[in-house]
Amino acid sequence: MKIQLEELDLMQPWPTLTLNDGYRQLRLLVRIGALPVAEIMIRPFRRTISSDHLRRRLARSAAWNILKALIGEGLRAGPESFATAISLRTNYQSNLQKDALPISGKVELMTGTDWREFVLTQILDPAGLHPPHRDWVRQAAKNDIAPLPPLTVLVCTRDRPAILEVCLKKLLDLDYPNYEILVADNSRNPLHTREVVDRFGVGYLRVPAQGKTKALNAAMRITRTRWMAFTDDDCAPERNWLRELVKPIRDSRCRCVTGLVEPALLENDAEIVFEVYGGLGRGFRPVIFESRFLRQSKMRPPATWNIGAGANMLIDRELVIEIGGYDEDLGPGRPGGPCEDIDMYYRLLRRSHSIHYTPRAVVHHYHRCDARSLQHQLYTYGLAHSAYHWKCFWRYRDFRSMFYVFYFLPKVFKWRWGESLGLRSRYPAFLLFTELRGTVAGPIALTGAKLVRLGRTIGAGLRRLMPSRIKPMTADRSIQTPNVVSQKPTHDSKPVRAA
Amino acid sequence: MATRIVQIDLAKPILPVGGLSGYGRVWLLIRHGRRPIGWVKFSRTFVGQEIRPETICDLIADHLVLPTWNSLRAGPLPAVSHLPSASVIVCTRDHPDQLRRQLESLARLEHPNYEVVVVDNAPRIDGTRKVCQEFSFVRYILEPEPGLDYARNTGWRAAKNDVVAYTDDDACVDPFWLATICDAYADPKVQCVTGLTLPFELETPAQEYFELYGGMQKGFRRRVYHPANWRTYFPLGSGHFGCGVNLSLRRSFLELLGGFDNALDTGSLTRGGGDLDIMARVIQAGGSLVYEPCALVHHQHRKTMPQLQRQMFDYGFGFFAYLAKFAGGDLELQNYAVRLMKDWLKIWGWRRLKRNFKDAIRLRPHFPINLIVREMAGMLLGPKSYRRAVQRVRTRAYVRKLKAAS
Repeated sequence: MKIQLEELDLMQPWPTLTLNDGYRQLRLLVRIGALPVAEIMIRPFRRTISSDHLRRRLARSAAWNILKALIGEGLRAGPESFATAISLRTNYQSNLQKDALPISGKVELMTGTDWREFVLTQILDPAGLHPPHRDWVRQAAKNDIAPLPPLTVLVCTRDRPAILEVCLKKLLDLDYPNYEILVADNSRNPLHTREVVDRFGVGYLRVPAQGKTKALNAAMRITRTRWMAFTDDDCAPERNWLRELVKPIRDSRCRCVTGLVEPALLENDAEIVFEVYGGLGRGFRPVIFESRFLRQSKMRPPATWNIGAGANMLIDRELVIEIGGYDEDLGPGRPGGPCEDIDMYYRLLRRSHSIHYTPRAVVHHYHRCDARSLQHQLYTYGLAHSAYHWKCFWRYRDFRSMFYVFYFLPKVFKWRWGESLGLRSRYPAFLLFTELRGTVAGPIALTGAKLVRLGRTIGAGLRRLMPSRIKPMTADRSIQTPNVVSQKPTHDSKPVRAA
Repeated sequence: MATRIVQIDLAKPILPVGGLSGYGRVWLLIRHGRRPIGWVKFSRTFVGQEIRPETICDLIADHLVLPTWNSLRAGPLPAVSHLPSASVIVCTRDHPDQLRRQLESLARLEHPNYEVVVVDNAPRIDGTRKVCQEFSFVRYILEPEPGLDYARNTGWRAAKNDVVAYTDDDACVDPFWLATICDAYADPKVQCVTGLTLPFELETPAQEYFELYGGMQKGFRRRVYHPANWRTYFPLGSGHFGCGVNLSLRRSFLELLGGFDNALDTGSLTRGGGDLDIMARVIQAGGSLVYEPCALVHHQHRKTMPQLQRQMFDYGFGFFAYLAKFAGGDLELQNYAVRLMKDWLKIWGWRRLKRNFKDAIRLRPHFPINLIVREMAGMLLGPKSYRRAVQRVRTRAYVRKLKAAS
């Protein structure tokens, strides 16, 4: 089972989409210019997808998104471009009375599902967008003056030099004027990673202590720029990634920006199953999350996992250091599992900062490609989910989390179990057991870590009292002097017009 | 927390909106030139100290997709020529400061030929006359009988032009208000035009509660009512058609109808319902009524809770007095009037009371229950008052006649 990934830019004339050998399905990312708008799955009858088929399919599945995105671009384009409406008029009938003009002036009103017809007849064209709409998008891109603060892009890696190389290649190709790249190396064997990093000549920080959060905190301590962008070693950012990611920071309350994470490849079952599980994408609608997001319900905890993913985010480093850095009990390689990002979102929102989700900043993520590592990943996801809720309850006294874990989460598992067994979902049922194991293990692991730390503290105290009797339990873990080889950052933050 | 109201015109560049400190919510009125498109409402925690233009674009693209597309496809409203001349009538009683604001806005009207008549209704202080002397274009008329409909009748009788547009002293009008209204009278069948009435400010809880009650807005779609389109209670549920702050009629048709009913509206025993009555009678007499959202008036709601409590009581009272008039009148409408009274009491009174009571005990935001109770009390007491009000009007007319004779 393989799924072909394609992109379609509505601005340009549409290319003929053809399925390659060995593929049965096509996953199409629809964009208007750089802006991702919608995603559709096509299972064509023949190898080639005719433009008419594509047009009808787009009108059926993506019409509303296209309509929304286009009007947003029109508004950004400014009043002169916005006023150039469509000169073409269709002949479709209005079902309203003749004399009851719906809004003042002569117009056929779009009501009910007429807008689908409108998108089909007036907007979707295999030759590309019509001139006024094309001008909107171009003008909007011209008007958008981005702030360009100096940035540090941080890549945390652990024993994956081959895929890190792909990531770094993409990162060096970004169209952002002043940024530096820092690789925080958490590997057991740093030789290969070091070699790759030296080849690219980017910043390198060796963090021997295991855990992504340890690496993040260590890297944050040595960085000089205020804003830091995070991505993972298995990600390939697009060329305009940083430029789009920093745009929301013009808002005074915005302290964190997250972006869209798309699959880079769907070549085998493990990758597809991960997408069925939910993937890392968070939709095509820009959202502002603010402190009210935490107070939406009295029973359900806020769905902070819908805000974004640690693979694609920008954060205010000074603020994070001020609130104590990432929680080192959480994160991949730590007992809490990979929930350090949602924990950070929760803490930011609790302090009334806002988090912006922008689908314009796209990162392509290479999912785990064999069943074993997928299973391990889902286990840690289950573990992290319950560990996060346990922390919310224990640390922040958020009682909704316990209600969620003991009431809603079993229901969710039961429902997903039914979906899998009833073949309504393609998610394998046995993976639910894996997740369930993780869910049970989460709080235990987190509490265990706390107990171990408590024991160590007591041990250290005893050792100080009776130094001769008790030998140290662990090897010396004093932090090595960070060895940083970095490009000189250029701190000219003059706003430059986006291309 | 107060609500900040900001107008965003899509025909002009969108600028950042500041000055939000002290406000808890923001309402953006989105308009495309003369045409209002809709509201975008959100909490201020959403934006911080300033609303960025990109945020505004995203919000409009999120909430007002179809209205914006529709407005865009309709194009800008055409500039109108050959407008009929109009008379603007402002009925006022002892609110000189608010009246001054209204007259300032009337001075900015975009219309080639209009006159402004201020009817001073049974004044207790002399401020109104002084304010009117400040504005050269204003004609001042005194109406000694207390009652809004007395003042309205005096107003249209004194008007020189065929289109008579009424507004109140506690409002201010949009520059294009009169032109839009006069444009709608191009159709000879149209006898009455109402418009969209927006809140001028939402600074106090009383004003916010009034908007929560429903306010005076009747939507952003243009509607035409005429005797042929049948619907339940038609034309008695005339609250849909508009309200008295933003109401205009043809003078000739007013003559035909015999003017406003002096027994109704503020200042009389019935406390309200005069505007509802005239709109219903326009339809009943065969005229068409246009609700035109582009005719914008900004109304300043009552600021304090006691004023709002009184207003709610008056609303219930006046509405049922007006229904009582029709229940005792035309055979065709008797049934409708009685049914509307029953249904209104049941649905708008009782069900709303229950729902708000539930919300109150669950600590959810809700409309204050005492206001609902007051409105229901008004509904129960209102119907009896109409007959007494008519008797009082007759007595007054008789006294006036005697005075004139002596």
